[in-house]
Amino acid sequence: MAKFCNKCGKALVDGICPDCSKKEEVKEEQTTTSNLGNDLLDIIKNIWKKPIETIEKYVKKENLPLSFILLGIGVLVGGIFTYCYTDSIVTGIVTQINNKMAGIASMMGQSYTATTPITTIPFFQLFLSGILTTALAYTFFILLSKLFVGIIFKGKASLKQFTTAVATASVFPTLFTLVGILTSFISYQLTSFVYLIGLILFIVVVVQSFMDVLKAKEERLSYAVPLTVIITYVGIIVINIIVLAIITSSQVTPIY
Amino acid sequence: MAKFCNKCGKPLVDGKCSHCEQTEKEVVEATSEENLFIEYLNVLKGMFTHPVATIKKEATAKNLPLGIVSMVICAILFGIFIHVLLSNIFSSVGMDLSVISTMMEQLNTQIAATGLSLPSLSNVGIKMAIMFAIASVIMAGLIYLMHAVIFKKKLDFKKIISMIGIIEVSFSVLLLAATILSFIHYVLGLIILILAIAFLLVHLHQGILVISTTTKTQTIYTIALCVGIAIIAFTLSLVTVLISSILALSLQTTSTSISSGLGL
Repeated sequence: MAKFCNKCGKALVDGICPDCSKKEEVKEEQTTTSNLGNDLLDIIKNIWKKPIETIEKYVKKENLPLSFILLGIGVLVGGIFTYCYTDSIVTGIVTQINNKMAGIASMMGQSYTATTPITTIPFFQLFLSGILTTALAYTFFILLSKLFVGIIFKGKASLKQFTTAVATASVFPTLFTLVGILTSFISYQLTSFVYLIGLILFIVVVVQSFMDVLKAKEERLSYAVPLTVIITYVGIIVINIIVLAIITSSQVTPIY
Repeated sequence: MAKFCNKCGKPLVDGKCSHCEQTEKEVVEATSEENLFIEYLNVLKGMFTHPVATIKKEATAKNLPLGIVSMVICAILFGIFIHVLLSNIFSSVGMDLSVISTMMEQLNTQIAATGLSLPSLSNVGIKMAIMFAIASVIMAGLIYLMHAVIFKKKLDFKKIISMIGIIEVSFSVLLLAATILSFIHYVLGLIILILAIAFLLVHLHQGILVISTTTKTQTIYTIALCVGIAIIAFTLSLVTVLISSILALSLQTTSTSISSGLGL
Protein backbone atom coordinates (compact mmCIF):
# COMPACT_ATOMS: atom_id res chain seq x y z
CA MET A 1 0.00 0.00 0.00
CA ALA A 2 1.35 3.46 -0.95
CA LYS A 3 2.66 5.54 1.98
CA PHE A 4 3.60 8.70 0.06
CA CYS A 5 1.73 10.85 -2.43
CA ASN A 6 2.71 10.16 -6.03
CA LYS A 7 2.01 13.82 -6.94
CA CYS A 8 3.81 15.83 -4.24
CA GLY A 9 5.75 13.19 -2.32
CA LYS A 10 4.23 14.04 1.08
CA ALA A 11 3.22 11.34 3.58
CA LEU A 12 -0.37 10.05 3.15
CA VAL A 13 -2.87 10.14 6.07
CA ASP A 14 -5.31 7.20 5.82
CA GLY A 15 -4.19 6.73 2.23
CA ILE A 16 -5.06 10.37 1.33
CA CYS A 17 -2.65 13.25 0.74
CA PRO A 18 -3.90 16.20 2.85
CA ASP A 19 -2.35 18.81 0.50
CA CYS A 20 -3.44 17.38 -2.83
CA SER A 21 -6.96 16.44 -1.70
CA LYS A 22 -7.42 20.02 -0.41
CA LYS A 23 -6.27 21.43 -3.75
CA GLU A 24 -8.66 19.11 -5.60
CA GLU A 25 -11.54 20.20 -3.35
CA VAL A 26 -10.81 23.88 -4.05
CA LYS A 27 -10.61 23.13 -7.79
CA GLU A 28 -13.93 21.24 -7.67
CA GLU A 29 -15.62 24.10 -5.82
CA GLN A 30 -14.31 26.61 -8.38
CA THR A 31 -15.58 24.44 -11.25
CA THR A 32 -19.03 24.12 -9.64
CA THR A 33 -19.23 27.87 -9.03
CA SER A 34 -18.17 28.66 -12.56
CA ASN A 35 -20.67 26.08 -13.87
CA LEU A 36 -23.42 27.72 -11.84
CA GLY A 37 -22.39 31.11 -13.18
CA ASN A 38 -22.33 29.79 -16.75
CA ASP A 39 -25.69 28.11 -16.30
CA LEU A 40 -27.20 31.32 -14.92
CA LEU A 41 -25.89 33.33 -17.86
CA ASP A 42 -27.05 30.63 -20.27
CA ILE A 43 -30.59 30.72 -18.85
CA ILE A 44 -30.79 34.53 -18.86
CA LYS A 45 -29.55 34.62 -22.45
CA ASN A 46 -31.58 31.76 -23.94
CA ILE A 47 -34.88 31.92 -22.06
CA TRP A 48 -35.96 34.77 -24.40
CA LYS A 49 -35.03 33.00 -27.60
CA LYS A 50 -36.08 29.46 -26.79
CA PRO A 51 -37.95 29.36 -23.47
CA ILE A 52 -39.26 25.81 -23.65
CA GLU A 53 -36.00 24.31 -24.90
CA THR A 54 -34.10 26.13 -22.12
CA ILE A 55 -36.49 24.84 -19.45
CA GLU A 56 -36.28 21.32 -20.92
CA LYS A 57 -32.48 21.42 -20.79
CA TYR A 58 -32.42 22.37 -17.10
CA VAL A 59 -35.28 20.06 -16.11
CA LYS A 60 -33.22 17.19 -17.54
CA LYS A 61 -30.22 18.32 -15.46
CA GLU A 62 -32.44 18.50 -12.31
CA ASN A 63 -29.98 21.02 -10.86
CA LEU A 64 -31.64 21.91 -7.56
CA PRO A 65 -28.91 24.30 -6.24
CA LEU A 66 -29.25 26.36 -9.42
CA SER A 67 -33.06 26.33 -9.06
CA PHE A 68 -32.83 27.58 -5.48
CA ILE A 69 -30.36 30.29 -6.50
CA LEU A 70 -32.76 31.47 -9.23
CA LEU A 71 -35.70 31.45 -6.84
CA GLY A 72 -33.60 33.17 -4.16
CA ILE A 73 -32.67 35.98 -6.56
CA GLY A 74 -36.36 36.30 -7.47
CA VAL A 75 -37.33 36.51 -3.80
CA LEU A 76 -34.70 39.19 -3.04
CA VAL A 77 -35.69 41.25 -6.06
CA GLY A 78 -39.34 40.83 -4.98
CA GLY A 79 -38.47 42.32 -1.57
CA ILE A 80 -36.77 45.39 -3.05
CA PHE A 81 -39.56 45.78 -5.61
CA THR A 82 -42.26 45.78 -2.90
CA TYR A 83 -40.59 48.75 -1.20
CA CYS A 84 -39.95 50.70 -4.43
CA TYR A 85 -43.43 50.00 -5.84
CA THR A 86 -45.23 50.97 -2.61
CA ASP A 87 -43.15 54.13 -2.38
CA SER A 88 -43.93 54.93 -6.02
CA ILE A 89 -47.70 54.37 -5.53
CA VAL A 90 -47.87 56.49 -2.35
CA THR A 91 -45.78 59.32 -3.85
CA GLY A 92 -47.72 59.20 -7.13
CA ILE A 93 -51.17 59.24 -5.54
CA VAL A 94 -50.31 61.96 -2.99
CA THR A 95 -48.85 64.11 -5.79
CA GLN A 96 -51.97 63.56 -7.91
CA ILE A 97 -54.25 64.55 -5.00
CA ASN A 98 -52.17 67.67 -4.30
CA ASN A 99 -52.25 68.67 -7.99
CA LYS A 100 -56.03 68.20 -8.15
CA MET A 101 -56.49 70.23 -4.95
CA ALA A 102 -54.23 72.98 -6.31
CA GLY A 103 -56.29 72.99 -9.54
CA ILE A 104 -59.58 73.31 -7.63
CA ALA A 105 -58.12 76.06 -5.41
CA SER A 106 -56.82 78.07 -8.38
CA MET A 107 -60.27 77.84 -10.05
CA MET A 108 -61.75 79.35 -6.91
CA GLY A 109 -59.12 82.08 -6.98
CA GLN A 110 -57.28 80.80 -3.93
CA SER A 111 -53.80 79.45 -3.43
CA TYR A 112 -53.24 75.92 -2.19
CA THR A 113 -50.27 74.66 -0.24
CA ALA A 114 -49.98 70.90 0.08
CA THR A 115 -50.97 69.91 3.59
CA THR A 116 -50.59 66.20 2.88
CA PRO A 117 -46.89 65.46 3.28
CA ILE A 118 -45.41 62.65 1.23
CA THR A 119 -45.23 59.80 3.75
CA THR A 120 -41.88 58.12 4.43
CA ILE A 121 -42.23 54.45 3.61
CA PRO A 122 -40.53 52.06 6.08
CA PHE A 123 -37.99 50.10 4.04
CA PHE A 124 -37.38 47.12 6.29
CA GLN A 125 -41.02 46.10 6.91
CA LEU A 126 -41.92 46.35 3.24
CA PHE A 127 -38.75 44.56 2.16
CA LEU A 128 -39.54 41.69 4.54
CA SER A 129 -43.17 41.61 3.45
CA GLY A 130 -42.04 41.44 -0.20
CA ILE A 131 -39.61 38.63 0.55
CA LEU A 132 -42.29 36.69 2.44
CA THR A 133 -44.87 37.18 -0.33
CA THR A 134 -42.54 36.18 -3.17
CA ALA A 135 -41.14 33.17 -1.30
CA LEU A 136 -44.66 32.01 -0.43
CA ALA A 137 -45.82 32.56 -4.01
CA TYR A 138 -43.11 30.30 -5.45
CA THR A 139 -43.52 27.67 -2.71
CA PHE A 140 -47.31 27.54 -3.11
CA PHE A 141 -47.05 27.49 -6.89
CA ILE A 142 -44.55 24.61 -6.99
CA LEU A 143 -46.37 22.48 -4.39
CA LEU A 144 -49.83 23.12 -5.86
CA SER A 145 -48.58 22.41 -9.40
CA LYS A 146 -47.25 19.08 -8.16
CA LEU A 147 -50.57 18.42 -6.37
CA PHE A 148 -52.93 19.31 -9.22
CA VAL A 149 -50.90 18.69 -12.38
CA GLY A 150 -48.83 15.85 -10.93
CA ILE A 151 -50.93 13.95 -8.40
CA ILE A 152 -54.65 14.69 -8.95
CA PHE A 153 -54.51 14.76 -12.76
CA LYS A 154 -51.94 11.95 -12.85
CA GLY A 155 -48.92 13.64 -14.39
CA LYS A 156 -45.61 11.80 -14.15
CA ALA A 157 -43.16 14.61 -13.31
CA SER A 158 -41.41 14.71 -9.94
CA LEU A 159 -41.40 17.60 -7.45
CA LYS A 160 -37.75 18.23 -8.40
CA GLN A 161 -38.76 18.67 -12.05
CA PHE A 162 -41.62 21.02 -11.14
CA THR A 163 -39.19 23.05 -9.00
CA THR A 164 -36.64 23.28 -11.82
CA ALA A 165 -39.26 24.25 -14.42
CA VAL A 166 -40.79 26.97 -12.23
CA ALA A 167 -37.35 28.23 -11.13
CA THR A 168 -36.08 28.50 -14.73
CA ALA A 169 -39.25 30.31 -15.82
CA SER A 170 -38.91 32.63 -12.80
CA VAL A 171 -36.21 34.48 -14.76
CA PHE A 172 -39.04 36.30 -16.58
CA PRO A 173 -40.71 37.87 -13.53
CA THR A 174 -37.31 38.49 -11.88
CA LEU A 175 -35.96 40.46 -14.84
CA PHE A 176 -39.20 42.37 -15.36
CA THR A 177 -39.34 43.12 -11.62
CA LEU A 178 -35.80 44.52 -11.86
CA VAL A 179 -36.94 46.78 -14.70
CA GLY A 180 -39.99 47.61 -12.54
CA ILE A 181 -37.67 48.80 -9.73
CA LEU A 182 -36.12 51.26 -12.19
CA THR A 183 -39.45 52.42 -13.63
CA SER A 184 -40.85 52.93 -10.10
CA PHE A 185 -38.78 56.13 -10.04
CA ILE A 186 -40.71 57.34 -13.10
CA SER A 187 -44.34 56.25 -12.59
CA TYR A 188 -46.30 53.62 -10.70
CA GLN A 189 -48.61 53.02 -13.67
CA LEU A 190 -45.65 52.12 -15.89
CA THR A 191 -44.27 49.89 -13.10
CA SER A 192 -47.60 48.04 -12.80
CA PHE A 193 -47.57 47.44 -16.55
CA VAL A 194 -43.97 46.15 -16.59
CA TYR A 195 -44.65 43.86 -13.61
CA LEU A 196 -47.80 42.51 -15.28
CA ILE A 197 -45.87 41.61 -18.46
CA GLY A 198 -43.34 39.60 -16.39
CA LEU A 199 -46.11 37.78 -14.55
CA ILE A 200 -48.03 36.92 -17.72
CA LEU A 201 -44.90 35.65 -19.48
CA PHE A 202 -44.10 33.52 -16.42
CA ILE A 203 -47.55 31.89 -16.34
CA VAL A 204 -47.66 31.31 -20.11
CA VAL A 205 -44.17 29.79 -20.21
CA VAL A 206 -44.80 27.63 -17.12
CA VAL A 207 -48.08 26.28 -18.56
CA GLN A 208 -46.37 25.55 -21.87
CA SER A 209 -43.48 23.80 -20.11
CA PHE A 210 -45.97 21.68 -18.12
CA MET A 211 -47.38 20.50 -21.44
CA ASP A 212 -44.18 20.06 -23.44
CA VAL A 213 -41.50 19.28 -20.86
CA LEU A 214 -43.31 17.71 -17.91
CA LYS A 215 -45.79 15.93 -20.22
CA ALA A 216 -48.84 16.97 -18.23
CA LYS A 217 -52.24 15.86 -19.56
CA GLU A 218 -53.22 18.84 -21.73
CA GLU A 219 -56.96 18.07 -21.52
CA ARG A 220 -56.79 18.45 -17.72
CA LEU A 221 -54.62 21.57 -17.61
CA SER A 222 -57.66 23.85 -17.93
CA TYR A 223 -58.68 22.58 -14.47
CA ALA A 224 -55.23 22.17 -12.90
CA VAL A 225 -53.78 25.59 -13.80
CA PRO A 226 -56.72 27.79 -12.61
CA LEU A 227 -56.83 25.86 -9.33
CA THR A 228 -53.06 26.26 -8.85
CA VAL A 229 -53.01 29.99 -9.66
CA ILE A 230 -56.15 30.91 -7.69
CA ILE A 231 -55.22 28.92 -4.56
CA THR A 232 -51.70 30.42 -4.70
CA TYR A 233 -53.13 33.96 -4.74
CA VAL A 234 -55.70 33.22 -2.02
CA GLY A 235 -52.97 31.58 0.10
CA ILE A 236 -50.67 34.60 -0.22
CA ILE A 237 -53.47 37.03 0.64
CA VAL A 238 -54.61 34.98 3.67
CA ILE A 239 -51.06 34.60 5.06
CA ASN A 240 -50.33 38.31 4.52
CA ILE A 241 -53.54 39.23 6.38
CA ILE A 242 -52.59 36.90 9.26
CA VAL A 243 -49.04 38.35 9.44
CA LEU A 244 -50.45 41.90 9.30
CA ALA A 245 -52.94 41.08 12.06
CA ILE A 246 -50.17 39.63 14.26
CA ILE A 247 -47.93 42.68 13.69
CA THR A 248 -50.81 45.11 14.33
CA SER A 249 -51.97 43.32 17.46
CA SER A 250 -48.41 43.23 18.86
CA GLN A 251 -48.13 47.00 18.31
CA VAL A 252 -51.42 47.87 20.07
CA THR A 253 -50.84 48.94 23.65
CA PRO A 254 -53.59 48.45 26.24
CA ILE A 255 -55.34 51.67 27.29
CA TYR A 256 -55.42 50.78 30.97
CA MET B 1 -93.29 22.43 -70.22
CA ALA B 2 -95.05 22.23 -66.81
CA LYS B 3 -97.29 25.20 -65.99
CA PHE B 4 -98.38 24.14 -62.50
CA CYS B 5 -96.48 22.97 -59.46
CA ASN B 6 -96.59 19.20 -59.02
CA LYS B 7 -96.43 19.60 -55.21
CA CYS B 8 -99.08 22.22 -54.44
CA GLY B 9 -100.84 22.71 -57.77
CA LYS B 10 -100.21 26.47 -57.88
CA PRO B 11 -99.20 28.15 -61.20
CA LEU B 12 -95.42 28.37 -61.83
CA VAL B 13 -93.63 31.71 -62.43
CA ASP B 14 -90.61 31.27 -64.79
CA GLY B 15 -90.84 27.52 -64.19
CA LYS B 16 -90.61 27.93 -60.38
CA CYS B 17 -93.27 27.72 -57.66
CA SER B 18 -92.97 30.78 -55.43
CA HIS B 19 -94.96 29.12 -52.61
CA CYS B 20 -92.93 25.89 -52.46
CA GLU B 21 -89.60 27.76 -52.83
CA GLN B 22 -90.46 29.95 -49.85
CA THR B 23 -91.38 26.90 -47.76
CA GLU B 24 -88.11 25.15 -48.71
CA LYS B 25 -86.12 28.25 -47.79
CA GLU B 26 -87.79 28.39 -44.38
CA VAL B 27 -87.09 24.69 -43.79
CA VAL B 28 -83.39 25.19 -44.68
CA GLU B 29 -83.13 28.20 -42.34
CA ALA B 30 -84.82 26.33 -39.50
CA THR B 31 -82.51 23.34 -40.00
CA SER B 32 -79.35 25.49 -39.99
CA GLU B 33 -80.54 27.30 -36.84
CA GLU B 34 -81.20 23.94 -35.23
CA ASN B 35 -77.78 22.69 -36.35
CA LEU B 36 -76.12 25.76 -34.88
CA PHE B 37 -77.87 25.13 -31.57
CA ILE B 38 -76.88 21.45 -31.53
CA GLU B 39 -73.34 22.38 -32.53
CA TYR B 40 -73.23 24.95 -29.70
CA LEU B 41 -74.33 22.28 -27.20
CA ASN B 42 -71.77 19.79 -28.55
CA VAL B 43 -68.99 22.38 -28.24
CA LEU B 44 -70.17 23.22 -24.73
CA LYS B 45 -69.98 19.58 -23.65
CA GLY B 46 -66.62 19.10 -25.38
CA MET B 47 -65.07 22.19 -23.79
CA PHE B 48 -65.64 20.72 -20.33
CA THR B 49 -64.58 17.14 -21.13
CA HIS B 50 -61.91 17.42 -23.87
CA PRO B 51 -61.14 21.11 -24.51
CA VAL B 52 -58.08 20.62 -26.72
CA ALA B 53 -59.72 17.97 -28.91
CA THR B 54 -62.85 20.15 -29.22
CA ILE B 55 -60.85 23.22 -30.24
CA LYS B 56 -58.91 21.13 -32.77
CA LYS B 57 -62.15 19.77 -34.24
CA GLU B 58 -64.29 22.91 -34.21
CA ALA B 59 -61.90 25.84 -34.73
CA THR B 60 -62.25 25.87 -38.51
CA ALA B 61 -63.21 28.54 -41.04
CA LYS B 62 -66.43 26.55 -41.65
CA ASN B 63 -67.57 27.24 -38.08
CA LEU B 64 -67.39 31.04 -38.44
CA PRO B 65 -71.17 31.52 -37.82
CA LEU B 66 -70.91 29.49 -34.60
CA GLY B 67 -67.90 31.57 -33.54
CA ILE B 68 -69.68 34.88 -34.15
CA VAL B 69 -72.90 33.73 -32.43
CA SER B 70 -70.90 32.53 -29.42
CA MET B 71 -68.96 35.82 -29.20
CA VAL B 72 -72.21 37.82 -29.28
CA ILE B 73 -73.88 35.59 -26.66
CA CYS B 74 -70.81 35.82 -24.42
CA ALA B 75 -70.63 39.63 -24.68
CA ILE B 76 -74.35 39.95 -23.83
CA LEU B 77 -74.01 37.56 -20.87
CA PHE B 78 -70.98 39.50 -19.59
CA GLY B 79 -72.96 42.75 -19.70
CA ILE B 80 -75.92 41.12 -17.92
CA PHE B 81 -73.58 39.64 -15.28
CA ILE B 82 -71.95 42.99 -14.47
CA HIS B 83 -75.38 44.69 -14.30
CA VAL B 84 -76.78 41.98 -11.99
CA LEU B 85 -73.62 41.95 -9.87
CA LEU B 86 -73.67 45.72 -9.34
CA SER B 87 -77.43 45.72 -8.67
CA ASN B 88 -76.95 43.03 -6.02
CA ILE B 89 -73.97 44.79 -4.44
CA PHE B 90 -76.00 48.01 -4.12
CA SER B 91 -79.17 46.24 -2.98
CA SER B 92 -77.15 44.46 -0.25
CA VAL B 93 -76.61 47.93 1.29
CA GLY B 94 -80.20 48.98 0.64
CA MET B 95 -79.58 51.02 -2.52
CA ASP B 96 -80.83 50.94 -6.07
CA LEU B 97 -78.44 50.89 -9.05
CA SER B 98 -80.53 53.28 -11.15
CA VAL B 99 -80.77 55.82 -8.29
CA ILE B 100 -77.01 55.62 -7.65
CA SER B 101 -76.27 55.96 -11.36
CA THR B 102 -78.46 59.12 -11.65
CA MET B 103 -76.84 60.52 -8.49
CA MET B 104 -73.35 59.94 -9.87
CA GLU B 105 -74.28 61.56 -13.19
CA GLN B 106 -75.45 64.65 -11.30
CA LEU B 107 -72.29 64.68 -9.18
CA ASN B 108 -70.15 64.35 -12.31
CA THR B 109 -71.92 67.35 -13.90
CA GLN B 110 -71.32 69.41 -10.77
CA ILE B 111 -67.62 68.57 -10.44
CA ALA B 112 -66.85 68.51 -14.18
CA ALA B 113 -65.16 71.94 -13.98
CA THR B 114 -62.66 70.67 -11.38
CA GLY B 115 -61.36 67.98 -13.74
CA LEU B 116 -62.43 65.23 -11.33
CA SER B 117 -64.82 62.46 -12.35
CA LEU B 118 -66.55 59.45 -10.81
CA PRO B 119 -67.11 56.21 -12.74
CA SER B 120 -70.33 56.50 -14.74
CA LEU B 121 -72.79 53.70 -14.02
CA SER B 122 -75.49 54.58 -16.54
CA ASN B 123 -76.03 51.67 -18.96
CA VAL B 124 -73.11 49.88 -17.33
CA GLY B 125 -74.26 46.48 -18.65
CA ILE B 126 -74.40 47.67 -22.26
CA LYS B 127 -71.00 49.38 -21.93
CA MET B 128 -69.43 46.21 -20.49
CA ALA B 129 -70.98 44.03 -23.22
CA ILE B 130 -69.55 46.35 -25.90
CA MET B 131 -66.16 46.40 -24.16
CA PHE B 132 -66.12 42.59 -24.01
CA ALA B 133 -67.00 42.28 -27.70
CA ILE B 134 -64.32 44.84 -28.63
CA ALA B 135 -61.72 43.01 -26.49
CA SER B 136 -62.57 39.73 -28.28
CA VAL B 137 -62.18 41.36 -31.70
CA ILE B 138 -58.92 43.06 -30.63
CA MET B 139 -57.58 39.67 -29.52
CA ALA B 140 -58.51 38.12 -32.87
CA GLY B 141 -56.87 41.05 -34.65
CA LEU B 142 -53.71 40.72 -32.58
CA ILE B 143 -53.39 37.00 -33.30
CA TYR B 144 -53.75 37.76 -37.01
CA LEU B 145 -51.31 40.67 -36.81
CA MET B 146 -48.68 38.62 -34.97
CA HIS B 147 -48.92 35.90 -37.62
CA ALA B 148 -49.34 37.86 -40.84
CA VAL B 149 -47.31 40.99 -40.14
CA ILE B 150 -44.73 40.22 -37.48
CA PHE B 151 -43.91 36.53 -38.04
CA LYS B 152 -44.93 36.47 -41.74
CA LYS B 153 -47.04 33.32 -41.49
CA LYS B 154 -50.44 32.62 -43.04
CA LEU B 155 -53.47 32.21 -40.80
CA ASP B 156 -57.14 32.37 -41.78
CA PHE B 157 -58.92 35.16 -39.86
CA LYS B 158 -62.17 33.12 -39.92
CA LYS B 159 -60.36 30.34 -38.06
CA ILE B 160 -59.26 32.79 -35.35
CA ILE B 161 -62.84 34.07 -34.87
CA SER B 162 -64.11 30.47 -34.68
CA MET B 163 -61.47 29.61 -32.08
CA ILE B 164 -62.28 32.62 -29.89
CA GLY B 165 -66.02 31.91 -30.21
CA ILE B 166 -65.49 28.27 -29.25
CA ILE B 167 -63.44 29.02 -26.13
CA GLU B 168 -66.09 31.58 -25.11
CA VAL B 169 -68.83 28.91 -25.12
CA SER B 170 -67.77 27.45 -21.75
CA PHE B 171 -67.12 30.98 -20.43
CA SER B 172 -70.72 31.94 -21.33
CA VAL B 173 -72.12 29.05 -19.29
CA LEU B 174 -69.92 29.92 -16.31
CA LEU B 175 -71.05 33.56 -16.63
CA LEU B 176 -74.65 32.38 -16.55
CA ALA B 177 -73.91 30.37 -13.40
CA ALA B 178 -72.16 33.41 -11.86
CA THR B 179 -75.18 35.61 -12.69
CA ILE B 180 -77.59 33.17 -11.03
CA LEU B 181 -75.33 32.80 -7.98
CA SER B 182 -75.06 36.62 -7.70
CA PHE B 183 -78.71 36.62 -6.69
CA ILE B 184 -77.81 34.47 -3.68
CA HIS B 185 -74.73 36.54 -2.79
CA TYR B 186 -72.56 38.76 -4.97
CA VAL B 187 -69.36 37.22 -3.51
CA LEU B 188 -70.39 33.83 -4.94
CA GLY B 189 -70.82 35.45 -8.34
CA LEU B 190 -67.36 37.04 -8.10
CA ILE B 191 -65.73 33.72 -7.13
CA ILE B 192 -67.28 31.96 -10.13
CA LEU B 193 -66.23 34.87 -12.37
CA ILE B 194 -62.59 34.59 -11.27
CA LEU B 195 -62.63 30.82 -11.86
CA ALA B 196 -64.26 31.39 -15.26
CA ILE B 197 -61.60 33.96 -16.24
CA ALA B 198 -58.77 31.58 -15.29
CA PHE B 199 -60.52 28.79 -17.21
CA LEU B 200 -60.92 31.06 -20.26
CA LEU B 201 -57.27 32.15 -20.21
CA VAL B 202 -56.00 28.55 -20.21
CA HIS B 203 -58.41 27.74 -23.07
CA LEU B 204 -57.17 30.81 -24.93
CA HIS B 205 -53.60 29.52 -24.50
CA GLN B 206 -54.57 26.08 -25.80
CA GLY B 207 -56.68 27.57 -28.60
CA ILE B 208 -53.87 29.73 -29.96
CA LEU B 209 -51.51 26.73 -29.77
CA VAL B 210 -53.96 24.67 -31.85
CA ILE B 211 -54.49 27.17 -34.68
CA SER B 212 -51.05 28.79 -34.70
CA THR B 213 -48.73 28.33 -37.66
CA THR B 214 -45.69 29.98 -36.06
CA THR B 215 -42.83 28.38 -34.09
CA LYS B 216 -43.38 27.50 -30.43
CA THR B 217 -41.44 30.51 -29.11
CA GLN B 218 -43.30 32.88 -31.44
CA THR B 219 -46.60 31.33 -30.36
CA ILE B 220 -45.71 31.86 -26.68
CA TYR B 221 -45.22 35.58 -27.28
CA THR B 222 -48.54 35.77 -29.19
CA ILE B 223 -50.29 33.98 -26.32
CA ALA B 224 -48.72 36.31 -23.73
CA LEU B 225 -49.92 39.36 -25.70
CA CYS B 226 -53.50 38.07 -25.99
CA VAL B 227 -53.64 36.95 -22.35
CA GLY B 228 -52.38 40.44 -21.42
CA ILE B 229 -55.18 42.12 -23.40
CA ALA B 230 -57.77 39.84 -21.81
CA ILE B 231 -56.41 40.53 -18.32
CA ILE B 232 -56.44 44.30 -18.92
CA ALA B 233 -60.07 44.15 -20.15
CA PHE B 234 -61.17 42.09 -17.14
CA THR B 235 -59.20 44.27 -14.71
CA LEU B 236 -60.89 47.40 -16.09
CA SER B 237 -64.36 45.92 -15.58
CA LEU B 238 -63.53 44.57 -12.12
CA VAL B 239 -62.03 47.91 -11.08
CA THR B 240 -65.32 49.60 -12.08
CA VAL B 241 -67.19 47.08 -9.92
CA LEU B 242 -64.75 47.62 -7.04
CA ILE B 243 -64.86 51.45 -7.15
CA SER B 244 -68.65 51.38 -7.39
CA SER B 245 -68.88 49.03 -4.40
CA ILE B 246 -66.56 51.22 -2.32
CA LEU B 247 -68.63 54.28 -3.25
CA ALA B 248 -71.86 52.49 -2.35
CA LEU B 249 -70.48 51.37 1.00
CA SER B 250 -69.09 54.81 1.83
CA LEU B 251 -72.38 56.47 0.85
CA GLN B 252 -74.23 54.03 3.08
CA THR B 253 -71.84 54.75 5.99
CA THR B 254 -72.31 58.51 5.48
CA SER B 255 -76.11 58.29 5.37
CA THR B 256 -76.13 56.03 8.47
CA SER B 257 -73.96 58.46 10.42
CA ILE B 258 -76.13 61.44 9.31
CA SER B 259 -79.30 59.57 10.35
CA SER B 260 -77.85 58.64 13.73
CA GLY B 261 -76.60 62.23 14.17
CA LEU B 262 -80.11 63.54 13.56
CA GLY B 263 -81.46 60.94 15.94
CA LEU B 264 -83.56 59.28 13.23
